[in-house]
Amino acid sequence: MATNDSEPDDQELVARFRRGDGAAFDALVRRYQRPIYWLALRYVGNDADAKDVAQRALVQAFCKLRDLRDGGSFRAWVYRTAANLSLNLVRDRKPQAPLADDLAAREPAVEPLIEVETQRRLRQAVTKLPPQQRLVVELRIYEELPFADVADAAECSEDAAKVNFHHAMKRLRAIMNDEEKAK
Amino acid sequence: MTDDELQERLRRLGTRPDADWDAMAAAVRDGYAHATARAIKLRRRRFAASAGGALALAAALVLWLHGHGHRRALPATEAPETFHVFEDLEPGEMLEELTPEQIDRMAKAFNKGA
Repeated sequence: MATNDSEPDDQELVARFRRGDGAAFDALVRRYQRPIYWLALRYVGNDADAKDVAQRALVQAFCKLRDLRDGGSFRAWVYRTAANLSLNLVRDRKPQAPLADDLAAREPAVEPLIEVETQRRLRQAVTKLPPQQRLVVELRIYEELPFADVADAAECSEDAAKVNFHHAMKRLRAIMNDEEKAK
Repeated sequence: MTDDELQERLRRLGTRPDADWDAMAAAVRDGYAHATARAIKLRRRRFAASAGGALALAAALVLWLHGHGHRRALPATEAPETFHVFEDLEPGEMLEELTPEQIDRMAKAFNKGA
């Protein structure tokens, strides 16, 4: 990911990291810790678990760096790892309230109650998406990645990523419309 | 709900809270250092195990060779059995031609055959 002209892209940072450059390691951490933490937070719903997932995903990604043929796919690797770790954590959890307190508490208090309720239902609907569709939505909507990069992270073709996104939107719309009708 | 509306709503769900990024970066650095040290230890242990295995194999080979070294061909002190050809000799003359040792050996071979 080239953030701007002055900053080296992932491929260069990965190459430098492989040569033992500690600064490149720090640069990669600084670049990805925020989006990875936010991604994990949306999955796991609380700060402590999200931090843990973000840290583990980054450590695993660095450990695997030597196996990566293409340093540019570091981003795809780290997103995928974070999503998988988050899903595992959520799956292994004891059954609990579907929405964790940390995320619910971050809802703006000024929004009308009905709006808050709709957003809550939407968030719940997202958690019910199949993993592949959810990952595509997360990376496309929140990280604003192009479909080619989404496909890289989701380990599918670009067309498959687009189809997954389309199905996810359709599904979410159906859930929301059904609930609105039921009211 | 339209597609655009839905995507807009989804975007609004994407909170981006701040965190202690320096502490998180330090934790990643520590985690990586720990994982690397563990991997090196594991590699060393595997190497030691494989070196031990190789050493054991080599020792086994040496012992085997040593054991088989004692089963060399018999030394050449004992003369190999040879055919003695008697040409135009009477039985008595045949015996006269033989040494006492050869007669002995023949007697033994005869007895064995019998």
